[in-house]
Amino acid sequence: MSFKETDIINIVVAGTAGQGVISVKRLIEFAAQKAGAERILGSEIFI
Amino acid sequence: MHGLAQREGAITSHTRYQKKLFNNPRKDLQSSLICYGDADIYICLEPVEALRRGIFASEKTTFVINSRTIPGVMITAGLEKYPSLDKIKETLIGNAKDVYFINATEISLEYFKQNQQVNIIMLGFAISTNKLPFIEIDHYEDVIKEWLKDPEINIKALHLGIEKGKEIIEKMNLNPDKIE
Repeated sequence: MSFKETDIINIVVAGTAGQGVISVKRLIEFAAQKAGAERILGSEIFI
Repeated sequence: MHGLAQREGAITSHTRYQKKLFNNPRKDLQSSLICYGDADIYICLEPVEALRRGIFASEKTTFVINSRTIPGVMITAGLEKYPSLDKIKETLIGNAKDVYFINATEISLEYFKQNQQVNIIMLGFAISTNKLPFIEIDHYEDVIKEWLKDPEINIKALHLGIEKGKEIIEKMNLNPDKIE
């Protein structure tokens, strides 16, 4: 599957507390920023 | 702050990015939450967590799942049963494009003698699916060098995840019923 530059890429990271879910989320976000993505948004859900 | 998540509590995060904007607010990325069925990829560090938030998956979704289980408190208390990996795969495959398993915990223990690299190995596995477009490996490496402790180990883990991921995807494409 190929993506267009205007496509919105949606990623879910799931795990249990202490597994590094938020680290992965932030790594992707910061890497997307370095890659020049024009908009990056994220949310974190704790239960 | 502490105590945001209970021990063994479920953690989910959504990340969304758009490389180029349309400059039309109706079409551009506006919300930090993914719509139901709109996830391109799930990175699951624990198998049951894939099921817990499965509502965001659809026929376009790829799952990459760490096959090492961490039974929750209801299971350790004997009040619920942990489903088998086959059952989890069967449930997900009806609502996904691909479902891939990797034992990232075992790989981390084998190569690094600790399980702290599991999440980075899983990120590498996700990269190998080509579902994180427009981000090069150099970008991840730069972020790891800038933000993480022991960057050399983590970069090695990232590459290991990519390499193992490619092997698993190739094997799974030949034999779709196999679980690593």
